[in-house]
Amino acid sequence: MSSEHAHHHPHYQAHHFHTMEQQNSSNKLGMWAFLVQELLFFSGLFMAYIATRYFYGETFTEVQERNLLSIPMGFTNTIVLLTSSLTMALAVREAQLIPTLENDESKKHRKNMMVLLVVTAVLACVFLVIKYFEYSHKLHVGTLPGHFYNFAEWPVYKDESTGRILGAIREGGIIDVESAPHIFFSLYFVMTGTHGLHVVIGVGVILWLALRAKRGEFNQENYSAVENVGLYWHLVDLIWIFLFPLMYLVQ
Amino acid sequence: MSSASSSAEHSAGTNYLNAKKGIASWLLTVDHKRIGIMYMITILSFFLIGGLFAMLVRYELLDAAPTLTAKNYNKAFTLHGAIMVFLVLVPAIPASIGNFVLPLMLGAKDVAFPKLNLLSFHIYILGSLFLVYTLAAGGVDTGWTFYTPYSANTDTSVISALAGAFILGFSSILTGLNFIATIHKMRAPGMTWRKLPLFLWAIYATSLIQILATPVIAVTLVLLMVERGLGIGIFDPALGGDPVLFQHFFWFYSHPVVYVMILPAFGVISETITINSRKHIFGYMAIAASSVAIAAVGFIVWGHHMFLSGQSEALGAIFSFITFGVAVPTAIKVCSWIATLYKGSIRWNTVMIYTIAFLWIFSIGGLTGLPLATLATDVHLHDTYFVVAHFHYTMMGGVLFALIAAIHHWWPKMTGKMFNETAGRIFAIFAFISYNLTFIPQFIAGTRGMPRRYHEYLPQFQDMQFLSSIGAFAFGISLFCVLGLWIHSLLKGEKAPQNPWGGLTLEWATATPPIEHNFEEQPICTSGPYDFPEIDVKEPMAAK
Amino acid sequence: MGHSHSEPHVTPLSIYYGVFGTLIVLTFITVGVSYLGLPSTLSVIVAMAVASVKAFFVANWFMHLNHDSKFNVYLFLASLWFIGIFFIFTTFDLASRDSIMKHSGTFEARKANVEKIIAPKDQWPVASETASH
Repeated sequence: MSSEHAHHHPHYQAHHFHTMEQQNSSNKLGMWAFLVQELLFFSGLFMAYIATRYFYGETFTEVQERNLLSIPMGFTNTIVLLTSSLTMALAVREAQLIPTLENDESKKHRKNMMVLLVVTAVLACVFLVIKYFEYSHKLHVGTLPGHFYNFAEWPVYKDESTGRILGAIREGGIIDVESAPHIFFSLYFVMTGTHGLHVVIGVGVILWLALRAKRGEFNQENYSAVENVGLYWHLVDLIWIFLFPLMYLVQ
Repeated sequence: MSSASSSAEHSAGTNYLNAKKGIASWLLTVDHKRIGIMYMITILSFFLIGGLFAMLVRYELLDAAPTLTAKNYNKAFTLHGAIMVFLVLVPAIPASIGNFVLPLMLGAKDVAFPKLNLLSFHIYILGSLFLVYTLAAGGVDTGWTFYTPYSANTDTSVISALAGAFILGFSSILTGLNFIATIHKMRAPGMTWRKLPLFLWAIYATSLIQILATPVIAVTLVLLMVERGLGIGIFDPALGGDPVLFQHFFWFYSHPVVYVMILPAFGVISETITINSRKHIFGYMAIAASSVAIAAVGFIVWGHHMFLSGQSEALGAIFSFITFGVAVPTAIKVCSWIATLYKGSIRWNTVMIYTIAFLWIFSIGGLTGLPLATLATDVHLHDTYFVVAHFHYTMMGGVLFALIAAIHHWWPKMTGKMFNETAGRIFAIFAFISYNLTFIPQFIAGTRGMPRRYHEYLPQFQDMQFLSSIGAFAFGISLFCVLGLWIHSLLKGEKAPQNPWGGLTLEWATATPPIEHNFEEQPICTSGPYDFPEIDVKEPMAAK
Repeated sequence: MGHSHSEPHVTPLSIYYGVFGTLIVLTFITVGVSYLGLPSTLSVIVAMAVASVKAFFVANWFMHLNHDSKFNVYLFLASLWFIGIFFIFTTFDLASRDSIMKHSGTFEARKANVEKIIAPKDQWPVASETASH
C-alpha cells in the first residue's frame, strides 16, 4: 500500500487515522458509547425512583398535594433546557457550514457558532440559578435528604437509640410506616443533583469549545468536538425530559 | 492472514521498548504497547497483594479453631475479594494483553483514542490508591459484595473502598469504549468481520458489556456512599429502604462482569489452541457469535445470586431457567475447541499445557455452575464452599490460566526474548496440580455443608480445609516459580525470532518486539486468521 | 480514501425550529395532563409516553440519528433494551414477592412494630402553610 503522506493530512488529523472521515466517525462512535454508559448510570437512579414509588406511592402524591416542589420552576427549567438544546443544535449546524478555507464566510459561521455556544451556556446557567432557588427554599423549609430531613409540617419519627426512621408522624403522634418523605427528598436531591452536576460540567465544556472557536478552530471537516459535546448536551436535556414529570407532576 | 510486508531489520534494534527513555516517557506515553505493559505489571502486583490476603484466609482455615478475630477474618476475605475482582480480574486480560495486542492484530497503529487510553490507566492507578488507603485505614469487612444493611452501618472504611471501586469502573468503561471504536473503525483493509481473530471478537463482546454494565455498579456504589453518608433510605431497612433492591443493583453489574473476566480468556484460548494444533479453528462463526450471545444473555441472569435473599420465588424460577441458557454458548465454545484439537498437529509447549489446563478447569467450573443454577439444589449449596470453589474454578482458574497462557504466548512479541520451555512446562503442571488440590476439597466440604466466610468451623470439615490450604500454599509457590521464569527470561532469555509459534495473525507479521508505530507500512489482510495448515509459515520456532 | 469527502449533511433550519416547537407543545401537554387528575398508574404511563415521544424527537433530529451510522443507533437502542430489562425484572420482584410464599409482608411487620409507639408532642406535625388543597 502506498505511503500515507501522499494523502491530505491536515494538522488536526491524528497520526493513527488515515482520513478525517475515519477520525470523525471514530470520535462519534466513541461519544455514543459514552452516552450509553451515561444512560445506564442514570437508569440506576430511575430504578431507585421506581422502587421508592412502588413502596411509598402515597408519599409522592402527598408531596404534590402539599406543593413542596414548584411546578412553575420545574416547567420553566424544562423550557430553558429545551431552548438550550435548540441553540446547541444550531451551533453544530453553524460548524457544519464553516468552509475549510479561511474566508469571510468561515469567519461568519464560526462567530455564529461561538455566539450560539455562549447562549447555550448562559441558558444552562439560568437552569442552575433556578435550581439554586429551589434548593435554598428546601434548605430553609427542611425538606432535605435522609437524616437531614426536618420539615416540621410533615415530620418523621426517628428512634434515637437505634437510629431507625420508622415513618412519618401524623396527627396525635401516630406513626405512618407507608409515608417516607425523607426518602422522597433523598431521591429528589440525588437525581436532580446528579443531573445538575452534569449541567455544570456541560457549561464548562461548552465554554471551552467557544474558546477554541475564538482561536479559529473548527471547520466542516473538523467539527466533531462540537458535534459530540452537542450529543452530550442533548443527553442532559433528555434526562431532564424524563425527570421533570416524574418528580414534579405526580398525580 | 498474511501481511503485505514483514518488517525486516528495522534500524538496528529500535523498538517500542527503547524508542524513548525515562520514566516520564512511560507514564505519559500514548503507545498502547507501553500502556499494556504498565497495566500488566500493576495488575500482577495487585494479584500478589490479593494473593497474600488469600494466604491469610487459607492459613486461618488450616484448622477448625480460630486464629484471627472474626472481624479481622472478615476483613481478610473482603480485601482478598475486592482486590482480586476490581483490581485484577476485571482488567487482567483486556487492559494488559488486550491493549498490547489489539491494534497489532487489527493492523492499526494504535487504538482509536490513545490519550484516553493513557487516562484509563491513570484512572486505574487513582482507583487503586483509594483501595490502598482503605487498607491503611484498617480495611473493610463487608465482603466484596457490600451487602446492605451491614455495609451501610459498619464502622470500617467502606466509603473509601466504594470510591476506589467507583473510580476503577471508569477505567474499565473507557477501555471498553476505546476498544469498540478501534475494532469498528481501524481494521486493516481486507479484514472483514468474518476474518477478525477470535481474540478480538472476544474483546469486542467484553467491551460491550463494560460500557453497558459498569455504569450500573457505579451508580450503585454512589447510592451506597450516600446511604452511608446521608441516610437516604433506599437500601437500609432501618431507614425505610430495601436491602434486596441493593442486591438487584449490585448483581445487575456483577453478573455480567464475570463475563468481562472470562470472555477475553476464551479469546486467548481460541488463539493458543489453533496455533498449537496447527489447525483451523472448528466453528469460527459459532465461537464468534457465542461471544456476543454470552454478553447479551449474561445480562438477564443476575438473580441466580439472590435465590435465598428474599427475592420473589417466581422471579427466582425465571432466573434459574434463563441461567441454564447462558451455559449453552459456553458449551459451544468448549466443544469447538476440543474439536479443533481433533486431528491437529499438537505442540505440547508451555502455552498449550496452560491451554489444556484451562479446558479442564473451566469445564469443571461450568459444570459445577449447573447445581447452583438449579434453584432447588442451590437452596442447599448457597453460601457454602461449593460456591467458593465454583467461582474460583471459573473466574480464578479460568482467567488466570488463560492470562498466564497469554503472557507466555505473546511474551516473545512483548519482550523480544524467549523463556525456558522445559521449566515453563514443569511449572505449568505444578500449578495445575496444586490448583486442583486447593479447590476440589472445597467442593466436597461445600456439599457437606461448610459455610463460606466463616473463620472457625466444625471439626468434620478439618481434613478438606487442611488439604485445600496445603494446595493453596503450593499453588502460591508455583506462581512464584512462573514469575522467576519470566524474570530469568528478561535477564538471560535468548532472542526471539519474529514469529516463534508460526502464527498467521497480523501481530506476528511485524517486528518482534514491534517498532513504536507497529508497522512499517499498512498491512493488508488477505486470508483468515487460522488458515492452517494451508499456509506454510516460514521459520516456525524450532521444536524443543 | 482521500480528502475530498462529501460535506456534512446540514439539517435545514426549518426542521430544527419545527422540532423545537413540537417539544415545547409536548411540554405544555405534559403539564396539562397532570392537572386532569388521572389515577396514579395511568398518569405515569401517559407522562412517560409523552416524554418518550420528546426523546425520539431529540434523538432523531437534534442528535442526528436519522442520518447517522446505523451502529450508533443500535448502541442507543441496546442501552434502552438493557435498561428495560433492569427495570422490568426488578419491578417484577417488587410486585411478586408475596405471590408464591406468603411471608409476613414488610409493611405488616412495620405496622405491628409501631402500633404501640406514640411520638412525643413536640414532634407532631405543625399546621400546613403550603398545601394547595
